[in-house]
Amino acid sequence: MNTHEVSPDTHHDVYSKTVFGFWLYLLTDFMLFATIFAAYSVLSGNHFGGPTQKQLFNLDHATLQTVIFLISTFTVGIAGVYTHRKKRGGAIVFFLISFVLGIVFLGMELHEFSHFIAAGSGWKKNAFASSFFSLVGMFVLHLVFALLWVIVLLVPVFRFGITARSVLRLTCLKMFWQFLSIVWAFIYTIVYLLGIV
Amino acid sequence: MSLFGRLGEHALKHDWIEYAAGVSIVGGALVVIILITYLKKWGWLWREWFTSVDHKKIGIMYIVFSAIQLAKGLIDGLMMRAQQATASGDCMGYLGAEHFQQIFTAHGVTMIFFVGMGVVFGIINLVLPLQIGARDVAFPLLNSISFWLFAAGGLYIFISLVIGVFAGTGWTAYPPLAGLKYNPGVGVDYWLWSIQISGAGSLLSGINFLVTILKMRCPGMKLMRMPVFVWATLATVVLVIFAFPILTGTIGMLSTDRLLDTKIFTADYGGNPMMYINLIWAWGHPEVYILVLPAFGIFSEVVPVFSHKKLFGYTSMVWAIAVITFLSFIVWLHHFFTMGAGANVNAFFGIMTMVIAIPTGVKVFNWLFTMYRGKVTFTTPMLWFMGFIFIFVTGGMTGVMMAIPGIDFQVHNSLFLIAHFHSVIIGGVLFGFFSGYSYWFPKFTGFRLNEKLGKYAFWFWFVGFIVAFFPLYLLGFMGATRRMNHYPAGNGWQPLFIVASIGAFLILIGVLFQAAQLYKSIKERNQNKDTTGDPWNGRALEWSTASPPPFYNFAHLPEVHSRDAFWELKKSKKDIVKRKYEDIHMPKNSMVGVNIGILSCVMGFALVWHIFWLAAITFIGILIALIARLFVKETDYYVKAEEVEQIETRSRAT
Amino acid sequence: MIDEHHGWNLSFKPLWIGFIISLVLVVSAYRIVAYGHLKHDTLMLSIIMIGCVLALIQLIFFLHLGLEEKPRWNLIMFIFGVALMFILIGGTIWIMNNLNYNAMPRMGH
Repeated sequence: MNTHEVSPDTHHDVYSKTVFGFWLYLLTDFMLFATIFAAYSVLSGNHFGGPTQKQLFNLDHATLQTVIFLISTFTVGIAGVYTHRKKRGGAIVFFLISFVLGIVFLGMELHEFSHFIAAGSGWKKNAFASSFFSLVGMFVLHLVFALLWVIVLLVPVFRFGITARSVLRLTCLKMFWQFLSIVWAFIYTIVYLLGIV
Repeated sequence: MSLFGRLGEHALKHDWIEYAAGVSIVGGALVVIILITYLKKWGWLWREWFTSVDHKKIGIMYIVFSAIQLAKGLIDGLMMRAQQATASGDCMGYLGAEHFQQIFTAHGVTMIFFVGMGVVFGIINLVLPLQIGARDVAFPLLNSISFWLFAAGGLYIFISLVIGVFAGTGWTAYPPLAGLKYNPGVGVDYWLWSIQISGAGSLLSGINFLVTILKMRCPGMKLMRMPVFVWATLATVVLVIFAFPILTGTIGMLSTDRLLDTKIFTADYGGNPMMYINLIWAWGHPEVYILVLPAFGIFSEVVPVFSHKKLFGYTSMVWAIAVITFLSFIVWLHHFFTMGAGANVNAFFGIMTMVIAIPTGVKVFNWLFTMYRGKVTFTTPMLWFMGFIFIFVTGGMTGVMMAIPGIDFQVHNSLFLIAHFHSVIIGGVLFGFFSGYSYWFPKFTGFRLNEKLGKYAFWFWFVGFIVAFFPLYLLGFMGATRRMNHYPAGNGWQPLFIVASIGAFLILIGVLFQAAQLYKSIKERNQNKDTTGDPWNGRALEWSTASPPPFYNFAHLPEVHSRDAFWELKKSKKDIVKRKYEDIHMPKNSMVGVNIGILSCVMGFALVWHIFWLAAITFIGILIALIARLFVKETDYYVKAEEVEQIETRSRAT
Repeated sequence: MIDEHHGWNLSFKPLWIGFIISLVLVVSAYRIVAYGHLKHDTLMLSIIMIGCVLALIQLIFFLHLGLEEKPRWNLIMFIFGVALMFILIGGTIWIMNNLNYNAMPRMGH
């Protein structure tokens, strides 16, 4: 209800609309992952003679990944607070920390993919491998976008400082990163933990 | 890897019918291009239309594009009718099986995605911001991008007629037939990218309209004061937001099966083709409600105005819409009762499907109660509503019949099903659009449509529909399956197919009358100007603006105190207090939308033909276009108060 | 969701709370899988519960779900979305299991 609306396109309105719109986008992205999760749930038992989760997954590796991503989510939240406080230095440092942790996570995940392929469970092998690669691969794709987004947004912050526009955009980036963390929580739980037991 | 992927000369090889179609399309496009060049209108088109972020212009572009697609889809339908009327017994008809398969596939894709979704988003774009007293949608640039993604996806239908082939799998493209093993060619890939790209546009529009409705209503417009069309739109976009990602994910997995040889929907290696059917219909059922809910909204606007009586049962209308929205997500299995699930699964979904007819019935009764004891005038918009009542309700009732799994086992994928869904889609979605088109045409063009030709068009469509599709109900009961290009003689089917083709021809005449109506109305537009902005004595806010509205919609944002806001304003006979004009903040035009449309169209084409370097470049191009936009500082401008005053006084003077 | 005028955008506290709880949850999940001696069904249920709580904690403390001022559109849309995700995933599992019961035995399982 817009009882407080004064005139259109005041800064508050732009912020409020855009953050809400981005939240809706995140809900659609949740739904996209839910679709692939549904496929994985149905196909995760179909190894067609190939290696199984118990043979392929490494609990320590996956847990370390999860902790690393969790830390990166925490630091991205910190970066968000600095952004809202208009503290350029703090924002840049903590977004970069998340970026570096994201790269480490990415490296670990690609390492796991190559382990899968070497063990004879590449994405063409069987339905389980295909759906695993689809689900975790989709996550990796989203992470790559997030990493690119960090660079694109930090460049103007570095040069021009934090403007109203950058508060809005960095908030959306922060939300995206935190969304990814929630998706990963489900991947860790349902794919890795339930796969191993 | 060849520079051109798997594109080669063979892509241009077709049978003579396809050549004729390809030539007409290329020829038609050339005629249009030459005409625009001759009239030196490219600059105008670019400035006023292609780069516009104005919701009214974008709405009109959606509808124009959909009209072209409707022509193509109708021709597909006529070709199928001609084939089925003749191909009995010894006669094989004139279409080969492979060509026939592409026709029924393209017909479905064209009609559902590029006509249905096009007119839905077109009408919402035009009407929604005005009805809530807003100046535009929440994200005007995103609106433009959505339109161009939609257009890019729609182009593949035409491109595939000239270069390559289209899918021959049916519009839902079930694997394993649509998978890599059984359909390695380009047809299914064209299908995939057509839907994936336009689907992205739809999703973004859904988000855009939802934020618009929840955050941009004018002061005083509480939710329960919104026009029912806005409620219908709200429900529609909620469905879009949650259903379209399912489509994206599902056909995304089909494309990895095809491009990367994954084994998700394969018949072997542990894949499960039945899961595709499950997931695609989890999207597919909400999709048909996305198509029909706006039509219900349109009727909720039209019926009160032409019954000269306020809408009966506003609150129950809103509840019915909400219930339909939720229920539409728990009925999807009725599209595959026969796939082999057990009795309790089928029973659950069967019961839910029957339940969803109840709120729909509430709405139909509310419209009829609105008419009861009203002073009803049967203008063209109202005639389309009457046609809807007869045809849609019939279709709805046959839907409830098929909701019973036992009956569905007899008629699933028969012509009975085809008659059902054409009844609800044509009777519901299309007639709803035609009603809205006739109703709102004067508002957005400034002149009225020729009523007589409109009425002729309606009667040919209405009678034509009945003659074309009621025989199909009978044929379904007689055992005729869908998608047949030939059938044995002597079982009594042919006469009914012949009657059906006469009906299709009558519909064609109806369309010709619509084209004639448009032509005549444009020719005589100066005699039929809408000078008041309110030609029908309307009830909602769009009628408070001039016809056509100024680009900023409202010089002063309205303040609303009740439902039927404009009606109440007229009744109170309050003189509009002369308020001071203010500067108005408006977004600038932008070519980002066009660029992304072109780039994604080329990218999809490259993926279809495995020209991966081109796909990579265009993909990066899209990223660059988006990133570049982030660095643009001057995205908006202010319309000075003096200019607003000039525009306002000029429009009131005429 | 995050309204720039509200306190939580400017405060580190919810982030610390969310982070610590999440870390504890992840470590607990790890421990019961690696070292726990729970029965299989209990183990699966516990893992799922931990996962759901982990997601919820992050939604509340990082994304500030439900903490906005009224009308809480973010929360409403989220709840609707979650319901639909349950319906989609749950429905898919129910339907596909049901189909598989009637289908041929799976190859190469």
